[in-house]
Amino acid sequence: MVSATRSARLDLGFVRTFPALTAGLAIILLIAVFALAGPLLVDARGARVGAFRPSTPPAADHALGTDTQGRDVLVALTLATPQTIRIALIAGVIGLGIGTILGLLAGYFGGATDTVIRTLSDTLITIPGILVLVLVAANLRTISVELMGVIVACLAWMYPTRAIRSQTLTLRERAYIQVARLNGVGGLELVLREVLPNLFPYIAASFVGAVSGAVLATIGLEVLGLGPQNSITLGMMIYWGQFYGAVLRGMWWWWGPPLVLIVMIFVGLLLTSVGMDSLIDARLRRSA
Amino acid sequence: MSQKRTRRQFLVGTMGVGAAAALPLLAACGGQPAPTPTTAPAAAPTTAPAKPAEPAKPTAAAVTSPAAAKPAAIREVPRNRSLVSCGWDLGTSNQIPTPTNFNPYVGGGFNTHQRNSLHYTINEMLFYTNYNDGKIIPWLGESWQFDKDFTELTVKLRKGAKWADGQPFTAKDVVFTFETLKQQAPALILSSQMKEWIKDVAATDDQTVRITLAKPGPRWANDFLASGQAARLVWLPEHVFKGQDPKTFEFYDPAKGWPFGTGPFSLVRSDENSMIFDRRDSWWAKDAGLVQNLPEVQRIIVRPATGEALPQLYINNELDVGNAMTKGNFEAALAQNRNLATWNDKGPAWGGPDGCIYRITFNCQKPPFDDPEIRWAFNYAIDREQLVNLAYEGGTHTAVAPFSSYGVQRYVPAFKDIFEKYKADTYDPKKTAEILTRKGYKKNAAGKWAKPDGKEWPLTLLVGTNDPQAPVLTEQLQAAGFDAVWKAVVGNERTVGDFEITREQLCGSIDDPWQTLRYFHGKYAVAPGQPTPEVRADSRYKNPELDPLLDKMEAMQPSPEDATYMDLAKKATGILMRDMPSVFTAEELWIIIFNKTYWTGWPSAKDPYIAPYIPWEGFSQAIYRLKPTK
Repeated sequence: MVSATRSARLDLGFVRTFPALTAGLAIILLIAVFALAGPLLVDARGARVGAFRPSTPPAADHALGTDTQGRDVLVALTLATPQTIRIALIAGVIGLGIGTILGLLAGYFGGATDTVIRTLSDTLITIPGILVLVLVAANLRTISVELMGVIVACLAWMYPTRAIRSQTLTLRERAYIQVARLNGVGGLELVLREVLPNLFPYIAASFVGAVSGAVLATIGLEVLGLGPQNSITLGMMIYWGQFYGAVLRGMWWWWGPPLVLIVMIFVGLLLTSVGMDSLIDARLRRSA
Repeated sequence: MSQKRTRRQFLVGTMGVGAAAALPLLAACGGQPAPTPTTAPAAAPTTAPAKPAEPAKPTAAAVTSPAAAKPAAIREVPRNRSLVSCGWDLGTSNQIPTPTNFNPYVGGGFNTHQRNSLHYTINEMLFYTNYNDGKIIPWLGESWQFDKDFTELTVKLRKGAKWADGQPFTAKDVVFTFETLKQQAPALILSSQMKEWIKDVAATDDQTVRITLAKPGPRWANDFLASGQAARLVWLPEHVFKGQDPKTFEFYDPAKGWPFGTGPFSLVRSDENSMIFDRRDSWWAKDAGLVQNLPEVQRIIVRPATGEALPQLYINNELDVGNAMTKGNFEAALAQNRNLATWNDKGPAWGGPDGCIYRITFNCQKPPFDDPEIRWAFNYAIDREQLVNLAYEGGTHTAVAPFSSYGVQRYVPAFKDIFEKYKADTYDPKKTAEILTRKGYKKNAAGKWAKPDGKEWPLTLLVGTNDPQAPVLTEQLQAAGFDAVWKAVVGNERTVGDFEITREQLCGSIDDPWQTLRYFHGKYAVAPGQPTPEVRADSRYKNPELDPLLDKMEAMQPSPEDATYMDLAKKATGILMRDMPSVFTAEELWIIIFNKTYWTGWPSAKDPYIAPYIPWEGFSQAIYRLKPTK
């Protein structure tokens, strides 16, 4: 039973107890501000093909230079970051939503439900995302940012399902569940009223994990040219940079910033999820 | 108690830092990031979808070697007497396909080996054509002659031509090849075309072949025997293929010296990783006095290389010749290796022509693209200069008609007044708006053009994979008010007409305007949904005014000095300009790379003795002329 440190007071005690979590949240906050406020501060037309003179290095009028198709890289970066985050959030929310429902059902009810859900998730984990995306792309007019999120979500629900399921299996045997059952609360109502609230910490941790996995999946697909081609995202910036040989040509201002931002997003999410482990499990904490 | 905690804290801290550092690396390798639950790993490039034409990122496929006998040890040849080539198509799969099947008319056929290595090592043609000036270079053949109706072709072969095994190359080998193809139709590649064209073929003596065509073919000898554009005829040695089943015979047996041809190299090793050809000790061309010496190149090594690897391979002198690069990559590589060269010795238009013109094709069977005025509205929305600058960094020049910089340019001065009249390279979105408004289109609330009935008008520009024009064209169309997006082709959408507008090119423009105008003949406008018989005729344009002009041109031997032919050509070009079934935007130029570190004598704009493309017949002429630098 931990006492005082349960309340997340934003003081030095918190920072000392949860260094990883603090660092992670700080990075995420920084990126969130950039993603939300950035687009309001730049002129979106600067990110269109042919807006400026192409292939110019960073200078006074273009802080991050321009790419070979005439886009201002800083403007493109400002517009691309929220797009990439949107895809990751959509994928994370949908993936986690499906994963939580399926995990809960499988863990609590067991039996045939569990077997079916478990087999499904274990099998589908092995399907490579690229195949799915190519199949989908063949039958669609174009891939939008939202659709990309949905597609990545289809690949994102398996791990949360497994994690939630195993936690549910544990919680199912707790004393207060037995008591509730004896009191006549049954089935779905029990799951929703007693089990689910106690899963919130694990769901939160799974969410962060799902989102970070979605970022990886999205970037990976986009860098191969399989992303939402008509939108600017961090992965598409890297794709076009690679197509035009930006690395070979030393155009670091084109491939560097998106890469830095991707690493920041990922590290922020990772630190947050490592930090959440210590929030959940008191034994992993430092002493105050 | 506090000691335990301190140790645990230390471990957690190190794990955290280590995980934070290592996980991006792990993720990049496609492993499951621990410890948090994540989605399925998708960041690692996995095997590209199995579409042969797609230049996606390949991985080195783990193919088990065929259970053939270990090849005999090959002799030592120094690097400065070896030529390393990466072929042309090998980068897609990053390995040599079917390395032990050398039957040129089955499977991938000549696209597999002939195109990437055999035609400049083992095999030779009867005649070669220098596309730069249209001149014929007689080789295994000496001359040809048509009769008045262009139905009887007499081909004279060169005396003294020999196969690599010493047997003479004679008319009976040519006849045998044609007859085998005809008999095996449609099972062998080119067999249907041979059946369609050849009524009869006979050897009147060892050096004379008489071919009787089923219909007049004024261009038949150029297309089938001299250029390699319409067909790549690989001559079969009758004394080996006779009695074999041409559908299954693989023509591979190192012990017997198979495969062989008449060329100065022989295959000494072949597997998925490379093919090695060594220069022979004798060659009929030298004995017959056609050339002075054997080639200086003693060994040719053909090894696959992906597009991404090319710049580094050229910089490190691990490649001498092969595929092309983009302008940016070439200039960056040139900065690190001054010995690299291409067609032109100055940029930005470094590359050489290849007979193709970039275009945007409309499916003229799908309304509203059946209306020439709508097609012109699109033409006015395209800024060709900007397209060239942004998609190719100024590496080519604009175009309005499907005529390349090759010999066909001889006809172009006569078309000048036609081009002046129509001014197709006008960029004027106001004219776009004027035409559309007149036709009843209105801009909707989002500022995009909507159909006259008020419905939305979403447009999808179908493009090839990795098309740099896609974002530029889409941006231009959107700026003109079209609700346009772009999408990469996946299957055979163009052939079956499953598109409205597509970005592609029109190829085949070598020395005669008919070679590209022909694809707008109404006979190719098959029923909607049916695949067109000619993939280049995907516009499905049908104009009974144009067809008889094209038919007449097809029946004549082309020449800019022939007034009748020019009259037909001008009328046909005028119709094409007026109706705009395709918007021609710019010429396709390729930056072929030649590495002068070990070898010089490559073809170039200054020395245009042959076209510079490794997959084209005629490249052997370059190989024979190379001189070592050290």
